[in-house]
Amino acid sequence: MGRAMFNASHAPDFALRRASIKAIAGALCLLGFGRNSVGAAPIGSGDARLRAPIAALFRDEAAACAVGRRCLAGLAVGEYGALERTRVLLAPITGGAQFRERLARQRRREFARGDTAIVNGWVLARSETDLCVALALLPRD
Amino acid sequence: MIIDFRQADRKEIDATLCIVGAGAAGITLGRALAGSGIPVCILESGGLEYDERIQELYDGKDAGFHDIYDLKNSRLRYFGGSTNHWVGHCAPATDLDFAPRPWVPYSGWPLTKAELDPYYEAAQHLLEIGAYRYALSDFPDRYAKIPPFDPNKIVTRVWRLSPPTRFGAKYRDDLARADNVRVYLHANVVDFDTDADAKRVTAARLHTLDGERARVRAKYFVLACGGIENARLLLLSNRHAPRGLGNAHDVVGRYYIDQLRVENAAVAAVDNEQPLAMLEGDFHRDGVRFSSLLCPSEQAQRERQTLNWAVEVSRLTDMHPWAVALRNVRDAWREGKWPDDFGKQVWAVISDLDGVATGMYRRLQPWPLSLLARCEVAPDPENRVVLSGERDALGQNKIERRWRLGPREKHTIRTATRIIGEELGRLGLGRVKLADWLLADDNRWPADVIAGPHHSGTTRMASDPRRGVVDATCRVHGVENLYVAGSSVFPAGGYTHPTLTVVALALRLADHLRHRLEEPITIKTPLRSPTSSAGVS
Ligand SMILES: Cc1cc2nc3c(=O)[nH]c(=O)nc-3n(C[C@H](O)[C@H](O)[C@H](O)COP(=O)(O)OP(=O)(O)OC[C@H]3O[C@@H](n4cnc5c(N)ncnc54)[C@H](O)[C@@H]3O)c2cc1C
Repeated sequence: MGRAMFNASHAPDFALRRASIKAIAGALCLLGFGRNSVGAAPIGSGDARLRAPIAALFRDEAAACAVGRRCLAGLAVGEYGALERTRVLLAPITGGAQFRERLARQRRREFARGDTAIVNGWVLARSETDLCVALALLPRD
Repeated sequence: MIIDFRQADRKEIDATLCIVGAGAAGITLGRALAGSGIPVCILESGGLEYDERIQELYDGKDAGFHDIYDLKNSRLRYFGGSTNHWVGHCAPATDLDFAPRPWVPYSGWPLTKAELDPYYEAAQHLLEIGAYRYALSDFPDRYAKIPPFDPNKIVTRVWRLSPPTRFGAKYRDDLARADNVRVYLHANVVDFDTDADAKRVTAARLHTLDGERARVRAKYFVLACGGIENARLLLLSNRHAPRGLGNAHDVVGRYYIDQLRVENAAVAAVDNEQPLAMLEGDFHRDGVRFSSLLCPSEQAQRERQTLNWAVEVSRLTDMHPWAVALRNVRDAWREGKWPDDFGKQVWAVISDLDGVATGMYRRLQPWPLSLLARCEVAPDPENRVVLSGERDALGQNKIERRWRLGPREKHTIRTATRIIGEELGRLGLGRVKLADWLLADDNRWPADVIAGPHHSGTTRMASDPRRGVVDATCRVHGVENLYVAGSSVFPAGGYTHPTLTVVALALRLADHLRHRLEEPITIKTPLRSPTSSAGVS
């Protein structure tokens, strides 16, 4: 009578995948945050102006960057999903007040469908970590 | 009548029904048959008080997982059994606990919860816990104030807290008064005699610590010695069944289960006036004490492929007994600090994004709570009790318990924590931080994880004798007149504590035996009392 094996695929994914980081960087590029093609990395210094709308979301920008860096350092848990989602999330940033509501709705939806990441033990909505990652990736002036 | 067996001079006793063990199960059964006219004899190893020499007979060895509850001290060997020190948390197992769950190997009872419901209802009275209602929604005033969790994910239930009923003290007089019931104290059953092909028990053999020996003959026998000792006595009854009685398929002692309890997360709630507070602490209604539980919906268990679980919300205080793993979180929060810079940063992000949502920035103050998880243990044939080479004062092999916690239990607790984290996030009530031990995808467990002690599963119930020791009526497969009462018959335990189910099953067994005994009895075996007047009651 052998011990029945547990199907590990039910366990959460505990590594921030390299591909996911690429996807975020790629999305930023597509949105004009970077000059190079998808996944091709360096985000140019001219993108600094594009950083501003994201940074404006946070009173404590340094904290958001720290969370973003922690995600990037591989301590985040979970899947970052597709480039598409990141684009949808970031696209309306220029949309002002509407964006705020949209962001809150997005967060509630993510929690409801379990689209969350675990960062150093904290259960965070995907868009929260995405924003922090974006902020950490984008260069300052 | 209650009799001290050491002072009884008759060493051959006859009864129609012989119950071995006077704990919750044995006393319930004996009491249910009091006044029935059926001659019942209850054999109890201990006396009316704790006695170290007798307790020593429970000593055994733990190999594998162990916690503060060793084999000797996690149960009590005297009249009333372990109810002499139980805490009193009561809740029935859920419908899904009884069903076969494809994602939980070896799960499923050969009976449904609906079949047990009438007995659960009757058991409420014996345990002094009021009505048979366990949904938090049964308390509308309270329910209205708790967070509106998504019912597809989280359902709210309650524990009912027994005073706790000490079965020995509470029901001793009922047994003493019943003229068809005799309770023998200091009567250690060492094994069962059977006919040559081990299909029928002929007698229970008794030894006292002073070297007295005796036999009790009966038409039917019920083993009610607790979740581990039931298996031990079957294994020790090996004169005509070399592997032990009822053990043709090597199932006796296997599938050992319990319930786990461990601190799994801290909650940073957004303020202290909010609905989470309604889930914390005990409340009282109609003289009964309650506490609240967050449990998974059936859908959540199915979709996330977890075992059954429950989570309790409590304040992080010094009084909290399980706050070990999260102690530094608690200590820092109490002083108004964050345990680490990272927590502070996460909280800043959450506050800022909430501010974005409302258009108003505010620095949220975290209000610390902790989550305590209770988790089912998966049935596993490799988790088991066996006879060890060591012997007790009666010359009987002691028990060795071999079991371990596996990835299913850890996956369950991690998933439970995440589900609650997601719901609190969705509702804007706060954020959950998983305990560090849950982050690693390995099978390491914190030092403060506690099991039960709710020893169960070692003589599990199954229709198929290759999968279980007893059938749906609690009769040992292949032995026509031997039954088992107690949590050892549970094939799966859920997150709920066992005693309510133990008592319900004992009441059901009493009904079954009453019906069986109405069948024509060919040999009348009237109860004969010992000739001495050694009664203690
Ligand atoms: C610390 C602690 C806290 C608990 N808290 C809870 C709780 O909150 N909720 C809950 O539901 N459950 C709780 N339990 C479990 C509860 O105590 C048991 O479920 C219950 O007592 C089981 O009843 P039983 O009759 O099967 O076994 P027991 O109550 O253990 O009775 C077995 C009886 O058999 C006798 N016996 C043993 N061997 C022999 C022998 N060879 N011959 C003759 N007699 C023998 C023993 O002396 C004993 O009297 C707790 C247990 C412990 C230890």
